[in-house]
Amino acid sequence: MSLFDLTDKVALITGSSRGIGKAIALRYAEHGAKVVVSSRNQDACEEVAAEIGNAGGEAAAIACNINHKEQLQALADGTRERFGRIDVLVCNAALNPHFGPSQEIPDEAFDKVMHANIGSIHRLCRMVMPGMAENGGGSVIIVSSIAGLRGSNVLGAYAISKAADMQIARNLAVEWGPRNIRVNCIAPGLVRTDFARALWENPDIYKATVKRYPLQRIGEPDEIAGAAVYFASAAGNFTTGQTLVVDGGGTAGG
Amino acid sequence: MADASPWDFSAAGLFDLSGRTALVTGGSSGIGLEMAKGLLQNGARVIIASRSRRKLDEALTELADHPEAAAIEFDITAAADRQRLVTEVERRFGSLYLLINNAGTNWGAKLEEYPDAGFAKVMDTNVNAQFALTRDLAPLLAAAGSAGMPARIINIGSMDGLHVPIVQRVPTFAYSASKAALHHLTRVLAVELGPRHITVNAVAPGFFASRMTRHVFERYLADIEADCPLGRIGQPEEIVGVVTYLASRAGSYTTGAVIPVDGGTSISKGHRGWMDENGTVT
Repeated sequence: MSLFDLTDKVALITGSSRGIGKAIALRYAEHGAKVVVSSRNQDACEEVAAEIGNAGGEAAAIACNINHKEQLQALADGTRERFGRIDVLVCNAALNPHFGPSQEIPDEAFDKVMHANIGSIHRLCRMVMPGMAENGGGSVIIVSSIAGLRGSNVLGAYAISKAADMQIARNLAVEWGPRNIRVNCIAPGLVRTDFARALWENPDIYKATVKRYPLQRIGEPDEIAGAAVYFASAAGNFTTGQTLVVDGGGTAGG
Repeated sequence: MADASPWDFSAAGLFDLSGRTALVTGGSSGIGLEMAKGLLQNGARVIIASRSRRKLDEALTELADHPEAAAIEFDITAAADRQRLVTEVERRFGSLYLLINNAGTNWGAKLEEYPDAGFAKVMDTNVNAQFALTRDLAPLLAAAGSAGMPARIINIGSMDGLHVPIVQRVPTFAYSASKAALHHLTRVLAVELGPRHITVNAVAPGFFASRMTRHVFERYLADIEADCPLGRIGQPEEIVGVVTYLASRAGSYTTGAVIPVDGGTSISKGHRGWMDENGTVT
């Protein structure tokens, strides 16, 4: 459908060799976008790019460790070098090195979460958005989490960083709206990815989690990709500064 | 629970609605008619419902390319009319995949002059009747939904139910309160109906061109644009887009969400001041 068409748009997606990021890359390519697949591992990126190529899409693989500013710059530059522009930026890469109470997280781990999950988005957006504006506009999508909407006794630092994602979206939406760039967050609940494997592989934890979700099941990566296509396409052209929760109703249910 | 996903997304596009049955209330004009058009173009079978036979006939003329479109005259505040609509939907479709609660009303007056009857009318139409129709259609919706592909309810709320407008043009106390109520009713029903394989979401539009906003735009369009980060009013396809997302496979795990489509207006500046009768903001 033309409202969701991404033909000739160039999309850069971090953390896209697996899970939600990979689903977004595949669906963007299916909808016509030229896609840059990125994660720390070049081989893993090449595999996804090849999968897209074999399906008749167009993709490039550029490895990047989001902790390093020069690698973020190389990612932005490499994308423009390969495809000439960036219309859609999806900030999906994030890390969570600590599972436990805030009292126990080492200072280094706390700083690492903020540096990677918040700092990299701030830096990458600064590198990409001016060019986007010069090209007439674009769409930035940050993959946050429902962890940023609720208190947690085990996800402290990660949850803080995910709440920050939502505020980054609001700030940048106001700053860049007049240049026709939209900035939104997607906040997934439990999704079938390696990142969340501990939460769905154990049947007891799984049952206890989805019991509280009105839809009573885990989400699939494609069900996050759907929201990402909406925000990237003409269908989402008047939506900015928002956080779309995709969690089977988990947060609506308290 | 390590088994593979039972939901096969490869069979059809993420946004395809081929053969899906839909009912759009307030569907004979404005944004309701635009949504009906979008659904029809995307392959759905659509019934539009509204109070005015004349408007329904005009709408059907506009939808002439889609002979399968049907129109039903009904007053959403009349219980007998709602029951007749439910019976008719069942007769035509057997079950219902998508309900768009779009019918709504408004009443504008100053605080001291705001009549009880006006407030009651707005709440009755925008909240009570929406609940009643949804309750009565829930069995038909449940019959169309499955775990992987739930049936959908989409409530059309408003940006005014999320924030107090930056400029209080014509005070619409009941309208704002009714839309906030509809947003929360959306969440409550999402929890209730999720286990029955029905998602419930709301869209909260900002300013779009319609009969309701024409008068406001004549005087305040420049202020409205200035208060919006995207600097403009919305276009019909920007509502059709979010509705299509929520109605399709792409939106099948999204429930209890209230999605503002307002160009960023409600998250930007908040209450800035009041506009007096000369159009000066104080």
